[in-house]
Amino acid sequence: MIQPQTHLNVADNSGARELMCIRIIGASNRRYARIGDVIVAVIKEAIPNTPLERSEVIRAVIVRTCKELKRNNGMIIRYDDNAAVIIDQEGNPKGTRIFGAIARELRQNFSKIVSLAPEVL
Amino acid sequence: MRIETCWFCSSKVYPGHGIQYVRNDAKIFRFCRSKCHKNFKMKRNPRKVKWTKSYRKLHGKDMTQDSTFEFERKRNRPERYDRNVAENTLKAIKTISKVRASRYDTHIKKRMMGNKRKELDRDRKEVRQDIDMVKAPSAQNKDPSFTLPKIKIKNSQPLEENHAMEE
Amino acid sequence: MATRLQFENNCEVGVFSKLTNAYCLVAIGGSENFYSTFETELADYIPVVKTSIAGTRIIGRMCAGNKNGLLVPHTTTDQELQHLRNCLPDSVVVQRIEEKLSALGNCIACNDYVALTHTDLDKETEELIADVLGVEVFRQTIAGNILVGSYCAITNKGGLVHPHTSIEDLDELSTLLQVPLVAGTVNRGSEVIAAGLTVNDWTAFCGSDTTATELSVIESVFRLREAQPSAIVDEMRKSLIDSTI
Repeated sequence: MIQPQTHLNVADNSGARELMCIRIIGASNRRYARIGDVIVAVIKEAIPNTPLERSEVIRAVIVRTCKELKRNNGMIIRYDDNAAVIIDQEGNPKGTRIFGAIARELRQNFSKIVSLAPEVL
Repeated sequence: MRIETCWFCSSKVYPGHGIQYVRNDAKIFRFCRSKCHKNFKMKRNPRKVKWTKSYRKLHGKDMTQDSTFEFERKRNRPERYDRNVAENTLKAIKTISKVRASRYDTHIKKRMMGNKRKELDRDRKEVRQDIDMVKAPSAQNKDPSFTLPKIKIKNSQPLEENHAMEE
Repeated sequence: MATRLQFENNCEVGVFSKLTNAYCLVAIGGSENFYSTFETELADYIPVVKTSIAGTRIIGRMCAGNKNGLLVPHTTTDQELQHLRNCLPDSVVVQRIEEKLSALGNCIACNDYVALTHTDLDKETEELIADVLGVEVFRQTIAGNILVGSYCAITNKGGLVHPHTSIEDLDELSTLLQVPLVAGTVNRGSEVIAAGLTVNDWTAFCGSDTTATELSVIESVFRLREAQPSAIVDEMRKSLIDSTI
């Protein structure tokens, strides 16, 4: 359940530390985003001397949520934090490394992210 | 599908039940129901919560070491499927569970053995201490012959029983 | 020969398949076209098995293996494990690993003799890799990236690594692996080599975005042009007999 104003951690080495969701891509007036959805976000905190800066607007894909995720096989799964990976317009990740576990819901459109992750659950 | 065990109470988690929690270091915690999940969120240690399996094992309430537990294991290197082997395993499961149940029964019986005597001791102590509840002490002083023999009988009967058991 | 193909309009074929000298795994439920491409190339020599791992189709990233064995992550279900065991030849050991890093394909890169692994892998896992795959294990990085499985593709003939690998690193890696290495890309400049390419000793499959130049690099470094499966099988057999004697 990510909505505008939600703060998210960044699960890659692109240089950003914290994001804030400002829009959810998909439909007009879409309320919430879940794992695997793309959001527009603003960078709230960044590591100095990296290509990304504070208050820059970027796109990101959500990889972990605190809100439970329900799978088709009845499994309910929940993560520690809200986290996203920063992507460009084509869906390729900006960073070269991904940290922490990634949900397998990403596999359809973001196989590049999946192939960078050390843990896929 | 696999039947997992709950991280908190070690009961079975059937497919579609409970919730999985993934910590940031990718350790997975499975819970059988919201009761266990809530207890986990309260940071309770399952070894200190009396209704969990780990508490019971730790305090000698349950059978811990038994050869029947050896059969139920997660096997990481599979064998090629063989119809005869599978058939035999299915047969063996029944007998193994039977053996386990009987061993569990004897374990419980052994554990409960001293209980009867303890209960009797407790009862006797209660009668001796709380005789005042039946009759006020002043009344006893006035008429000692009325109550005491009755109580003596009550006291002496369990004593005799105990002797019989010991013999 | 190297073949170009797509998986459901996605060029990352290495994610959805796993190719070794003794077997080939393909993701289940994909289009028949993807599967039949593998079938036509390989069916005469090695088994092509459709499977899922941990209920997903990203099998290339989840498992690691060579002609001696196959390692699958702890998320693999019992049914999948049994299916793999039944489909693969008896000489291939199938083993499930209790390892926190569940994307084994990203963390392990191996040929039939040497494996490069992620630096954070457990000690027990390292022993299991050496035992099951019959390889020497080295903890390595490729161009500063710890996900060695993603950034290189190696066979007994050669290897392709991340384009930013320095000359010194290349030398070091090629002495470890005892094969020639080349830094390169696949899928029109993608540096995630193993995602776009899956390769064994006599054939390779790469994403359909791969350019002719990239393809020629791949063919030359893996020596695919002169390779014939039967010849390699003979060679393998010879080496096997040698080792048994």
